[in-house]
Amino acid sequence: MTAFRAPALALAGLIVFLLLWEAIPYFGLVNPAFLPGPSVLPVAFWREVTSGAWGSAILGSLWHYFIGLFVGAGLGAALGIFVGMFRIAEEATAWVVRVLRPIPGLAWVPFAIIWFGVNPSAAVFIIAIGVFWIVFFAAQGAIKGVDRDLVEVADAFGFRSSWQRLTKILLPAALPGILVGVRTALGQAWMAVVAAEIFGVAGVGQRMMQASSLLATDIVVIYMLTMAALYGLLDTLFVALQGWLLRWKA
Amino acid sequence: MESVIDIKSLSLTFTRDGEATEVLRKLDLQVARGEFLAIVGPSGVGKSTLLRVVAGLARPSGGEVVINAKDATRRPVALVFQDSRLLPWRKVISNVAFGLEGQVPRAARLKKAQEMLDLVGLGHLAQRWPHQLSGGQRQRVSLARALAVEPEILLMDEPFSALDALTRENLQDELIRVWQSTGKTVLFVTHDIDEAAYLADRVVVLSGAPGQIIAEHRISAQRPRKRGAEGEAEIVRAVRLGLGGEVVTDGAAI
Ligand SMILES: Nc1ncnc2c1ncn2[C@@H]1O[C@H](COP(=O)(O)OP(=O)(O)OP(=O)(O)O)[C@@H](O)[C@H]1O
Ligand SMILES: [Mg+2]
Repeated sequence: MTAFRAPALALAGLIVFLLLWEAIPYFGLVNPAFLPGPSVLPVAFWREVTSGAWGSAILGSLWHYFIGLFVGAGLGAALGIFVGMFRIAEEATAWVVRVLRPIPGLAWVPFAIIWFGVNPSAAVFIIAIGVFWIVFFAAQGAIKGVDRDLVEVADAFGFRSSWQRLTKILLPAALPGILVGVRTALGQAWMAVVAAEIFGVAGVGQRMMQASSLLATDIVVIYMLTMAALYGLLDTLFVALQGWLLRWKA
Repeated sequence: MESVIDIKSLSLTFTRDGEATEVLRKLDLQVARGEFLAIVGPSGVGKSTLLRVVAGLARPSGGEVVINAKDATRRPVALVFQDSRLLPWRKVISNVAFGLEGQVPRAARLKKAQEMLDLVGLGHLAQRWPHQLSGGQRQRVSLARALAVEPEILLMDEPFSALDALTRENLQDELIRVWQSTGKTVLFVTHDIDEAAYLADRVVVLSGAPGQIIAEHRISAQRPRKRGAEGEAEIVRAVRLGLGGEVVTDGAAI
């Protein structure tokens, strides 16, 4: 009985939410053109999919997303690990990090457009910057937090070069912390996708702006829900991967 | 007999925040090839520090440690830590093979690791993760990891002190069996005088600050030995007397 309580309540909550949502435009509390009810969405979704707009927008966004995430998280992890390993590097970069870190990712938009123009590279750049710092700090902290006793095991067996330390001890020991950062980055990059495409780079963000200027609010909602679903899927897949990579944990 | 470890006038001083702690002063000690040497002494006297210097993990401030290895191409020493220190992200077998990486091809490495696991009686647990083992099993794996690199000298820092009495006695007997069948030199640090007297050919007593050797006892009892045999009890008594009132075993004042 109790096993079903949580999902049953969750489902009931969702139904109440949808009903309320439907009721607001239905009873004219808000102009239906400004807030479409959920009942009109399936038709709008079908139209968007069959016209091919949905597929190409999603594809464009996923492409920006993965490349931006890969570049940003990759550089963030590599530099974070480096700075975490060498005290000298940490000291040398301390002030540079302090200057650059507080700048919001979106503040780079002007430069993104100047350097790359309004095209996919600019979107990738914005997304990469959005995730870089998250992974950088996660990696640096994780490396610095590795138990010295484990490093000593490598020493005791004669693995004393920085590279051996890194591959045999530091990287596997820091992996849980780095993956936590990457998971946060997964969400952060998703937010950056919309922001980066709003300037006109083809993708979900651009399509949403087009739709809203035509007051096609049902289309806007379609993409909002699509993004929620895609993010949910990606996060679930990532958690599964994380669980497999860290299967050695108690 | 030629000594395989020759510790000459070894001194070690830790400096932290400008404050110097002299841990070892002008310590001399020779260990013969194939000997089982136990080092006992009160907590904080510098036993672990001494072992770490022999293992090459700490640099002495004075004097030197000479190791006369037969085979100069390989690392002559391997260390068994008190807290096993298995790498949690590696399966048991890969933990045992750890020290062979970069020297032996993978297939040969795993074969050797399996042999070592069989030797310590854990062959069937090769595919487990360390967190799935008991404390005693973990310590056995740690011993197998050290044995896998075929060291001439086995350094052991209170390897059994965290275990219950029964497991500890089993592992002691197992260690003796391994030692007798491989002919290695063993440097065994322990708090436990009974353990030292049961296992060793010779017991060295370290005491004072800075730590110095205050007594040495040779144990000639036949092997296999009987626990608590007469000669052994005498050594234990002598060591305790020598340490005069210092707390040595788990809270037991002497
Ligand atoms: N890295 C270090 N820096 C400063 N002092 C240290 C350091 N390592 C050990 N010491 C000091 O050196 C002394 C000897 O330590 P050591 O660990 O060798 O003792 P021990 O005989 O092994 O003790 P135990 O039986 O409790 O393990 C202690 O007083 C300890 O506080
Ligand atoms: Mg110690």
